[in-house]
Amino acid sequence: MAVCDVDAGHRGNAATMVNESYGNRDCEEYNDFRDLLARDDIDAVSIAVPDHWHSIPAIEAARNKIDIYAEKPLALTISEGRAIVTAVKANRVVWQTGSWQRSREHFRKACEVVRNGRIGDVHTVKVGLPTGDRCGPQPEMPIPPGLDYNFWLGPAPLEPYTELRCHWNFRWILDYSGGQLTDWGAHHCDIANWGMGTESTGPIEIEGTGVFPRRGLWNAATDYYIVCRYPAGVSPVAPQGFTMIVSNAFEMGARFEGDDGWVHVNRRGWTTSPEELKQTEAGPDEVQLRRSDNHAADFLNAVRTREPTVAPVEPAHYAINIAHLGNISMRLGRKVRWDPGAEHFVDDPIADRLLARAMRAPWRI
Amino acid sequence: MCRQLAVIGTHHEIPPLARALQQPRLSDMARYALAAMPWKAVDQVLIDSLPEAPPHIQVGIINTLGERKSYAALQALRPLRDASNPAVAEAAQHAVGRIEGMIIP
Repeated sequence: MAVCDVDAGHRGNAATMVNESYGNRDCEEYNDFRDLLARDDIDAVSIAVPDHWHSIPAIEAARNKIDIYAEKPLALTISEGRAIVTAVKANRVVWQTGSWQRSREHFRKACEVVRNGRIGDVHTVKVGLPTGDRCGPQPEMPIPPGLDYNFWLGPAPLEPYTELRCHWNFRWILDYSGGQLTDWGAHHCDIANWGMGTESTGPIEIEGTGVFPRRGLWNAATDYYIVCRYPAGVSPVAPQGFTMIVSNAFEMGARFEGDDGWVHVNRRGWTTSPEELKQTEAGPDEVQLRRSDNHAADFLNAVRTREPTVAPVEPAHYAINIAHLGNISMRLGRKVRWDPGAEHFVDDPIADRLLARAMRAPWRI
Repeated sequence: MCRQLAVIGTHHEIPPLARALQQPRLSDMARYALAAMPWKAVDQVLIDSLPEAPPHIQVGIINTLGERKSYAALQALRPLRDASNPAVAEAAQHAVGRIEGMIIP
């Protein structure tokens, strides 16, 4: 067993937790993930790092044939996400995304109701996410003892340390993440795709409007309304195509609206119209989504048996792409057209520039 | 500024960004803007910057040439696989592999 963290305090706490669990002092500590991944006795890793760090260790682990449980959102950019998918598939490693809602029964049942046509043809999916926060300009502060700040920044641009930049709050800064849109979008857009059967495709038109803070450290959109159009033929339950709207204007969760009813699901539970839809079960000849009662156990089972996990890498990519496309549309201030197969924008070289970002030396994928 | 230029930068911004590539405090962000620009002129600027750049900056430039899959850079990159600086040599090895299609991320 080993733990790796660029914050010595966090690292020590993690090692203590592991040692107490096993009743020994065998857990080794690393500051540099490359030293850990270079070991020949590591079977699997759990990667829980800020978004700007998701791709590099994931790809390195995959190249070293190490199975991976990794946090959502899959990656900071669409390009890095695709690189992770390629590495995982090419190296045939087990991958579980931390999209643990898939291991909650009510999310699965809600999606099965939709997938089995019980609300008819779906015309609209509304994904509700939280409103973002703001903070004002922040002073430069001394780097806390034990924090390898240069390593924490890693591939992201060099910026002075301040407390509200790091750890939990990286989420609200576009150099490291994409705001609530990506932080929560990774969860509920994933459920939206699961219910619609669109886990390996994406929208073809995205139009986003949002409010970005004009000043202050946190610069991700606080309010957002992203309209995504999916064409006919990509969803088995939307033969005419459908619209997905992602916004903080809606109640949290995924709401599927069809010709014959609706389903709304979030962490508190699910509701349907008609109400009796909740009592239905997917039959033997119907769509039965993969069952998992425990997200971590599902991953460990896959490590042992090499079966697929309930949250594989490619659905994670297509889920977070919705949020990335929304952010790109908002930042450009206009509608964009997307080719989900080729993974570039249609006749839009400016938007294509936002598919990837150069990394601070020496980092690369 | 360079975050904006990555999106809206034009050919006019290439020369000043090229000069910034050689400055340790500015190099990464200059490259941040240049890397997003689609034109072959950017590849040439990056290639031309290699000989004068110190090793740490060379690594960044090499990485970007690899990610851009710049075939024009192969002639400059291949000899760097034998560079005395191990970071430069390793970056060049990886970049050549990316460009030649032998390494896929």
